[in-house]
Amino acid sequence: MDGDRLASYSDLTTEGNNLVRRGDFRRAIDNFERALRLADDLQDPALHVKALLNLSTARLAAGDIKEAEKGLREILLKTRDPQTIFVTSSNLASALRRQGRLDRALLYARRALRACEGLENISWRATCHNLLGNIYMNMSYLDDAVAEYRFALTLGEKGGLGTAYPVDYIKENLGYCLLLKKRHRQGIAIILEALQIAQRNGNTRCLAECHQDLSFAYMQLKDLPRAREHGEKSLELAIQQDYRDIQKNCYYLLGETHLLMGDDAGSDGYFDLLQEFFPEVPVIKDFLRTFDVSSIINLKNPV
Amino acid sequence: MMTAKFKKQSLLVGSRIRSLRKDRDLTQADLAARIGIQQSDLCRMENGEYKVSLETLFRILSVFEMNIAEFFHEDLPGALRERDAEILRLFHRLSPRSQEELIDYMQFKLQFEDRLGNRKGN
Repeated sequence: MDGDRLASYSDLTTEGNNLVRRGDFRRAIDNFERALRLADDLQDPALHVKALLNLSTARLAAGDIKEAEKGLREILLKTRDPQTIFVTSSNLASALRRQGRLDRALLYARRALRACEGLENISWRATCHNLLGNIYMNMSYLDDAVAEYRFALTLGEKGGLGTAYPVDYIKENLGYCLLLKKRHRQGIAIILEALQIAQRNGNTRCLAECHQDLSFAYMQLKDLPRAREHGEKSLELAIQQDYRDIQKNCYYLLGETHLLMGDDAGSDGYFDLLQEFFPEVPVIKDFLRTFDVSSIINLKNPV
Repeated sequence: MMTAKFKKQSLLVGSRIRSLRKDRDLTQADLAARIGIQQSDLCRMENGEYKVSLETLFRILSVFEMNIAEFFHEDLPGALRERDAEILRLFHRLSPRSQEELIDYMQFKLQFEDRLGNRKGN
């Protein structure tokens, strides 16, 4: 009986991890919630912790930050297992980053890195450096962020990761960071590589981010038909998969692109949709119609 | 050349935030807490070194409870506001190369008017 439950737990976890890697976060959450119930039925504390951490990872990816953060500090206080310390610290760092608490996020990301240095898992180390890169990018320390992403990619190459997850994300982040540094052509080339890898990996989230980044890049270069094309592709994926952060960004990008094309009605339509996300600030459309904010914003800053 | 222009735009927004904050007797710590960012990041935002999310940008508008004209155009003469905004809108629709050409042309016109001595304000 317990053997059956363990097998089910294992299947649910494997499938949940694949769903996370493909960007299907809602279904991954469902899997991990079922795995957590099985772990509780089995009354296995170690399995309970693993299931909770998997659920936390999926919730983070889906943007349910407060839910994802629950219980992580308690786990970190009690555990001495380096793998658990790595995952817990990494998730806490991600949760804090998504709340804009970047200094704290940096502390936990470094703790995660220390924990995984002894684990000989290249993918995890690459993930850690990618996370550090994300935090630096959110802090607008772009040179530091680029260095972290490049180091993560070097680790991936040395470790034979090839184009496996999370190389698609790391390349996409590096490309976007180069866009922020105004190195548009270089950034676009790397994002196009990431896009191809994400397509092969079936990573919908990364695909949506690549199209979003390309829309941003081409908008800044005033290649407006391409900006619109990528913006529309990104928005379609974001709506399908309920990536609300990307939806908001796409409404801005498409509104701005249509404005630059001289299509005021099209622009108004997208800015109105963006306005619905911010009912407390009724001047958004006027603001964006009047000012080009593309050079002062970071689409990947969560708050 | 492009970098300098983008930097200038960031500085414009940052310096405007600083002056609005001081007008309202808010410390950096007060405003940072209300916007939900760290004080050090607000400091860098005011210096044009920090890129913000759309959320933060809109939250700043909300905190200052003002319309767009007030936020950015307070120092401009009223009669010019609409036309300046229109010029900006048209300018940003141009390709980077055309923008450069337009700047070069305006600089040429300014030099020409300087030589004639009939520049605005002279």
